[in-house]
Amino acid sequence: MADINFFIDGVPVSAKPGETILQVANRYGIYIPAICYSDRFSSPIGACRICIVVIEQLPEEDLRTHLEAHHPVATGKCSRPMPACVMKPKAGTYVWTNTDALKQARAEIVKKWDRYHPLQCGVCDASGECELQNANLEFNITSGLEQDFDNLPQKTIHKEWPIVNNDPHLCIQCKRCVKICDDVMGVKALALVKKEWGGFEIDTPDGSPLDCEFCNQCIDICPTGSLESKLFMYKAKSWEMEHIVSGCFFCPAGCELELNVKDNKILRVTSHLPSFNDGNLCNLGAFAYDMNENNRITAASINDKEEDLNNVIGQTYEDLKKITDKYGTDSVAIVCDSSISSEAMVSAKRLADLIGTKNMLFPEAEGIIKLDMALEKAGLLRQPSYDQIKNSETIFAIGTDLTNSIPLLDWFIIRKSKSKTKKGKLILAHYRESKLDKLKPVKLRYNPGSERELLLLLIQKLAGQKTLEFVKNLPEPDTLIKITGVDAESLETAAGQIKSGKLSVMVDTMLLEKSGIAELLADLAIASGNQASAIGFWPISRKSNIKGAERLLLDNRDYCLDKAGFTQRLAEGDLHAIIHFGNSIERILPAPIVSKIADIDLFVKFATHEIGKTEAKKNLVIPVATAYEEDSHYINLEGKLFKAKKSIEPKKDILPVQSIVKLIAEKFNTIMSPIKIKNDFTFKDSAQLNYLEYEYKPIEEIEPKQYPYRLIVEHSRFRSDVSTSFGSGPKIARAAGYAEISSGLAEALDLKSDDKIKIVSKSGQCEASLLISNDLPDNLVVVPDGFSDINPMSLFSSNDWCEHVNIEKAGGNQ
Amino acid sequence: MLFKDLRKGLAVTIGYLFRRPVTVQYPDEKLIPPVRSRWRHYLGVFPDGKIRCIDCGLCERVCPPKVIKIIPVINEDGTKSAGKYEIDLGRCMYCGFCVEVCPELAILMSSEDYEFANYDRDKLVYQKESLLKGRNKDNE
Ligand code: SF4
Ligand code: SF4
Ligand code: SF4
Ligand code: FES
Repeated sequence: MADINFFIDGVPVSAKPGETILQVANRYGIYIPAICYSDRFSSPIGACRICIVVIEQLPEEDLRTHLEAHHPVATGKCSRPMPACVMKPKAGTYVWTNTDALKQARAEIVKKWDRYHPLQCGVCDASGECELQNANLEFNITSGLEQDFDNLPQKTIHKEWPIVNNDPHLCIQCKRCVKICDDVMGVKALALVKKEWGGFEIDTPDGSPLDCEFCNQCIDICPTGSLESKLFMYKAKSWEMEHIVSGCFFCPAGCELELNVKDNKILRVTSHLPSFNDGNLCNLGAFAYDMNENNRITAASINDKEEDLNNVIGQTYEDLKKITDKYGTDSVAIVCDSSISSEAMVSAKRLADLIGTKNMLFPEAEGIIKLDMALEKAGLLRQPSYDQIKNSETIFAIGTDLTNSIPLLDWFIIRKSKSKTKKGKLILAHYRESKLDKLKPVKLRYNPGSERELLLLLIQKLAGQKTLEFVKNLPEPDTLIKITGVDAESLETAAGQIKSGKLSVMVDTMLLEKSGIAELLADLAIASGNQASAIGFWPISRKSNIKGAERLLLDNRDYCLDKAGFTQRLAEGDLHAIIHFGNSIERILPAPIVSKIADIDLFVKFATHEIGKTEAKKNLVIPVATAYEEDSHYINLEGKLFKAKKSIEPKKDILPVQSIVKLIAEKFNTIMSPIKIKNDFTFKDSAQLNYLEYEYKPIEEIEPKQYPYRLIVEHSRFRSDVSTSFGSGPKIARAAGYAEISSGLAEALDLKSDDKIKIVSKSGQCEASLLISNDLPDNLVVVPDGFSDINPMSLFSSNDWCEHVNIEKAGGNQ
Repeated sequence: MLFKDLRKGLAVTIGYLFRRPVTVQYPDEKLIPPVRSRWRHYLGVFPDGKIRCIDCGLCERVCPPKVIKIIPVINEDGTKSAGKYEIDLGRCMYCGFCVEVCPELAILMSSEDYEFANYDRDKLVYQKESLLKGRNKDNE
């Protein structure tokens, strides 16, 4: 379609197809006031009518004299006022944005808003960034309000809502909040509801207290102080805070945000446009900021006794020296969380070099590395970009609930579904329902644990006979269907959609750790018939710098110790010292492995938060700064390096990891140069696509009688790293961890919602309160990760994510 | 004339000896400052004793030398008040903008309490407690 040429205030402009008058004006820098419009929505609301313009159709010759005279006012007959945010321009028309009549009409609208608006800007948190204040200033409204405070409608202030404070008295009914919750979040938690007093108020559709994703979007977009964050309420005025542009380090999406800081304290988190996350943030990004103040480790310690930092650093050096002298450098292992900054990871590697060991373990990055190895062999290794998701025909997600894992991807997909032209297709292979099911995707419900069979089925559908060339022992489709329990019809549709064009594959990294999954996914992608450049792989994890870990490991392949190797070395007594960069090693390694650490001579931990405890013969704890307290870098899911800016000064004796490693290096008589993380990493492209060989072996899962249920670890959007458990926002949204079972199972075991239950496995047990869901198979117990009060890893006895458990009522003597 | 300049000078001096003195013997003698003069600040309260300041932040904002600092608290009834209120009277320029801008008539300036000189600059940083005390009669 051709561009549409027309005039705004006498300026010739041209609109792209589909653009509204307001969007064109914005692009040309012509100002039209707008309140309910936002670039963050997929379509305009058209509620406030502040953006009204008049449209004039002049005959050709009139126009010439008109323009030559340079007289930018309407002369002919104009249309009645139309909202510019909704109207699409017509070719050859003249749009006038600022006639006297329009100015007056706008002022009238603002006066209507003002009429019952309480005069409480003095205490309103929005003051200073309030669009109603701005509108009053802009239209110079100083009199004629006819405010009638005696007959104020009695509206309900929702103080009982968690996190969001809703004061409808301040609301101008622009419906931005309703729109963003539906359009961007796909939640529909808010609505304009008719009330007894005869007017409308923003409320939940059924009037119950808000129970939603607590994501900050509505608070952020509300033009007035009607919706405000309770965590920020009355803490500071908008103009007093410094806005520090930074990136979120709570999940690998790495959303852009602004930390609002006053007096060395983060008081709130906002965001801005344009940004790749469209100004959206999730609960963690927006409300977990005070994790920086809670449960921090404030002093270095040796065997739980507080010590001077320098002593502990000296001790670390001496102990390491003793151990390496006695047992050799290979007896030291370095374990890293994947949610620490790239600087911390490089420091860990430098420390490994100083010691002379190559034993580096990133337990959480094992899946992603397996995938990379498979993709490299298959010729598919590439770094996809977020744009690729927006443009891909088909998204295939397996074993992952995107809403709870990477909210950003959830928003992308919801936004895509709203688009008229690029809707794309969505295939969700998961064992239970998810929020995205609302978009009517192709659902492949399979029995957990049968992912390989599911992939084989799809591959077979796509590659046909050829499958036999690279898959050995391929069972009959019927057998596979029986094992997976998947619906044959959906399978057919799914296969058809995977073939239809550009493909994005999203897969959980826990799933990738299982043998064969990575290879089969590569085969599936090749079987889809796409070019390598049209295929994007998205390993899904909650660990914010998983991509940083991936890069470090791909760059230093000989530093890669895997979990199996680590377990074996530990069991054989080869390891005598472990240095851990992260908060809690018992959350990244299964319980039996962690219990072996008790036998080793030295355990050094570089941690930010007080959580869990690992006992070796000698324990050193060194407190380190969080990413709020130092300039550090992370790598987001699309492979872009971004900076988490220092926004507050750490307490005395809390240093960034790299400064501490520098001090240790000094003991080794080495001067450590400052770490510079560069963004120069590229994957080697390969032209040739190869199917990867795979040999099918049915997995006999023994279900010991005393452990009849399968244990599944899920992500929660209200937690990522355990340290997020200490943020107020996530804590309000989800106070504690839980164990989820199906309603059928609950009935059979005579358990009720919120009962305290004990989950027992071969290697451990933990307590949690019970959550009952209708969409789960009966043989599952689902436990979320990241909650400080429940640690699913303590239930696992090996590295293969396959564990069976039993449950019983806690305190009962069953 | 001899010593013309000296005599001229002395004449002026002697002239002053017989005039009424312009200065006063402070602190034995004190002047009454003009009614609209601006001296020490104080904070207003409601009849029930509740502080009037709602921490709208306007005085902090308008103050040219930026010597006002307020830290808000949320009261039990959900309203906002100044939890801490601090003015550095040593750096204040006594322009009275804060008084003028305050929508709640919460910050006022005494027209007579000018005696707060001190040897220590730190002591000139007045806190809420001392600002609430020592109100003059305008506030009664
Ligand atoms: S919403 Fe805006 S106009 Fe209303 S009280 Fe708050 S700052 Fe003032
Ligand atoms: S916090 Fe998010 S999910 Fe909840 S009502 Fe607001 S926009 Fe909707
Ligand atoms: S609560 Fe805010 S965003 Fe929602 S309709 Fe009212 S003014 Fe608009
Ligand atoms: S901005 Fe166009 S109607 Fe509100």
